[in-house]
Amino acid sequence: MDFLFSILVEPWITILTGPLFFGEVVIGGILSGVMYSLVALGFVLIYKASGVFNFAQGVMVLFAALSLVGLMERGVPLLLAVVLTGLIMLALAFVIERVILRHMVNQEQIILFMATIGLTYFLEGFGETLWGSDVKALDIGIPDLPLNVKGVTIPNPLVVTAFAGATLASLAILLMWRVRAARRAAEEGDGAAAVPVGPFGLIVAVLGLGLFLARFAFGPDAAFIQGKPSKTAAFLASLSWAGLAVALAVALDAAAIWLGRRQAQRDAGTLAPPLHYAWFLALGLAGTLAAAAGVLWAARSGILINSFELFAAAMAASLVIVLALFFQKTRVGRALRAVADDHAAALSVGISLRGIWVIVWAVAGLVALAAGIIWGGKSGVQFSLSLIALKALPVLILGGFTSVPGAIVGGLIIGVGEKVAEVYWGPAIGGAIENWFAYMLALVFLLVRPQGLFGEKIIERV
Amino acid sequence: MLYREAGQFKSTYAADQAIFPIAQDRWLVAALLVAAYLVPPLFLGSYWFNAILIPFLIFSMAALGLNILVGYCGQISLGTGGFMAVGAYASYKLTTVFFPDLGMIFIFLLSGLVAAAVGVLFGLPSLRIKGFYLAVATLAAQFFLTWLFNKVPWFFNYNSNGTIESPPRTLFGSIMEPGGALEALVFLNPLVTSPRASPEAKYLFALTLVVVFALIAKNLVRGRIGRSWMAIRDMDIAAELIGIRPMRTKLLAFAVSSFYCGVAGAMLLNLYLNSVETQAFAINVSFDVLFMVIIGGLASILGSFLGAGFIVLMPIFLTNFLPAVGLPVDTATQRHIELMLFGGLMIFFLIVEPHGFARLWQIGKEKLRLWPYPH
Repeated sequence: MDFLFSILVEPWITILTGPLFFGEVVIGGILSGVMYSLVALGFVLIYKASGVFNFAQGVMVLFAALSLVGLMERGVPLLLAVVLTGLIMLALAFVIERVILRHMVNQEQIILFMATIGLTYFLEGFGETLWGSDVKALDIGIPDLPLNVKGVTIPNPLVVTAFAGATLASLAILLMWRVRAARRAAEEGDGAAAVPVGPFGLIVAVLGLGLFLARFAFGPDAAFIQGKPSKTAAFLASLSWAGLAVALAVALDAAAIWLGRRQAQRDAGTLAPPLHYAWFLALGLAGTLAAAAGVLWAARSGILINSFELFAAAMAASLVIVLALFFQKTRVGRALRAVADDHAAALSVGISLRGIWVIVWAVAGLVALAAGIIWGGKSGVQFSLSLIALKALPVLILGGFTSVPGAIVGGLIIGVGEKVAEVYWGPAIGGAIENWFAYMLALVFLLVRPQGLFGEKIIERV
Repeated sequence: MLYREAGQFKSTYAADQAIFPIAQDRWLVAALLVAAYLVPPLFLGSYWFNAILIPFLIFSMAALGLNILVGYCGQISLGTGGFMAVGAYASYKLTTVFFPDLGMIFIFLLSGLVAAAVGVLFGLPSLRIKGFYLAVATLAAQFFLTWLFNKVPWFFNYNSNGTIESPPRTLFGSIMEPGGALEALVFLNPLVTSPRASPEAKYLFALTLVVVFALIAKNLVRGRIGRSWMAIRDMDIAAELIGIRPMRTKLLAFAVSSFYCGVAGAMLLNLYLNSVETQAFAINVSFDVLFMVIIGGLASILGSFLGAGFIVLMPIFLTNFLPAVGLPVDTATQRHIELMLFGGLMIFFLIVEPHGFARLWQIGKEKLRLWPYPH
């Protein structure tokens, strides 16, 4: 009973009674989630363009960081070293295509996956033979110190606005996604997917609403106003708010699906315009707003934010924007998208698959370099850097193997979920749950949605 | 010339369905078995047993199990290390707490059953998801199980260092020891676990287990069950349409596979390492076993052995090979060069023969049939 209490009730009470600390934990989670996203991004790029599940992405991060540090140790200035390492990653992509991929066209995915495991071993040995295997510090000139912004007075409305903006932007993204999905479903004539509220949703909504209303039935909960809240009261209160949130979510979802169906009915026969670009913009906007809100809130409440992590988040955000522009606005980017859609069709319009593979591995290498700079700068350059690949895997299945926004959103969810679980639930069940929590979260999620959050719908034909 | 099947006529169904329909194969396998039972105990030293033969047998067992799941049923699993850990920790708890009198052979089977139950539990997601999504989902088993065995002191009997040690136990247990019901058979009951047991006894025990379970696996996969696994692997919807229940079939594959992995884990603890931490079942074990299955040959019993041999022997070979060539390098660099060679060889063999050593052997047999004539 005590154990159940410490798992089911106590964490919620801690969260409710210490919202500031909770905010700090969430921000920390977002920042580490950004770093997971960066690694997951490399996976997604390669998987989309070549169908290779590239396990070597983690060791590519290690290799990039090792090369960078190695060059800097030999007296190369930071910026030049970054450029040189970028060139090394390009060369690496070229060699990989020449030596491995070229010979493995048309092999089964699992064989290619195994080849990348071989590549993992090879690169690990190669990098450490070349640059040595001792732990190295990577100094990129950003102090890894708490950035104390306490004392700066910021007008209250601004904080509220920033927060509301971030929340609305995220909601808008979610809604947009649902609208699009519903519209596509309606266009494809998938009746079941275009029903605004299924029986399951209805039950959930009614239950949620019931939970919320129940607290009024049992009298107003004065638990939070008069002195110390009793644990049970706090738990019930949080439960009822959660109920309201769930009911609202179902209602919003239904609205989105209804909207999507209307759209589809209105312009029946025309294809949905590509929303990718808007997607990235909205994501970037939301991210920026969220970051701004976080900083401002931190400034108000005296939370310590790490300047290095802030830098990492900014770097990741700009990387995502650059990648989005590259994919949407350049010729090569268009070719990449074409290959991702359909290899054979891309070949038939004269796109060179091999060239594309080199490019996509090179891009993944550069993403690995960025991740290497951030992770290496944070925790030193050492072998364990290659293990973050294992952290990126649940991010991948959560977001979907083929979705760039999925990698980012998945990374954030995993980052936050992991931190919150470790801080609030960890002590009750023995700690160090970071290792597997992300996998369990992803697993539970997959049972509901097997293709991940943003993955393409799995259509099976016999 | 030697490998010629002309003149071998099959006149019964039983002969046609034999595991080795060709006489030469039968002789070769019989000779190999005799050699495996006689040569090492008579001629080889304990280094051979402890560093090469026993690990080879253990990983053959694990590879057999994983091959059933990945090769025959088509469900990619990266949780092998976790299931092996279940087997090892189950055998530890069973020998020390629950059945201290029971012989190791029963303990191993029970450990396998425990692992099978856990395997079914973690196989449940396979009903919803497949491919790499499933592979990553099985990593949950890997990380959760090793964390569990590391964190919950009940699993290592609350000892201070968190390692589990194999206690000295005999093959059949107290029933054949002095005072037991079958006291007269005590000569059949050697000590097989703990460092005190002779490596020969451990080796023969492991060998027998592997031979028996390989035979069982071979018969499983060529029977009704194996065919339903393969049907699920090739296309699960089509298999469902012809009346194969995907849930039962997939979960059975997970159960059988985890059983083999669990026995392998129990063997790893009791016959090889004698004391382990969860570190011995880390994620790279899962990858190694998966690689054994793939380099050996998916859906091939022989391939499991070839792959296990390759992965177990290659590092030993490289460790001895590099100094022999006379490269004057320190140990750290040597380890890195070994890694590079290992990775490079993995890629090389995948490029040369993506269907594994089993396919190479098949091609070799085709060639041998004609040799020395060109047609």
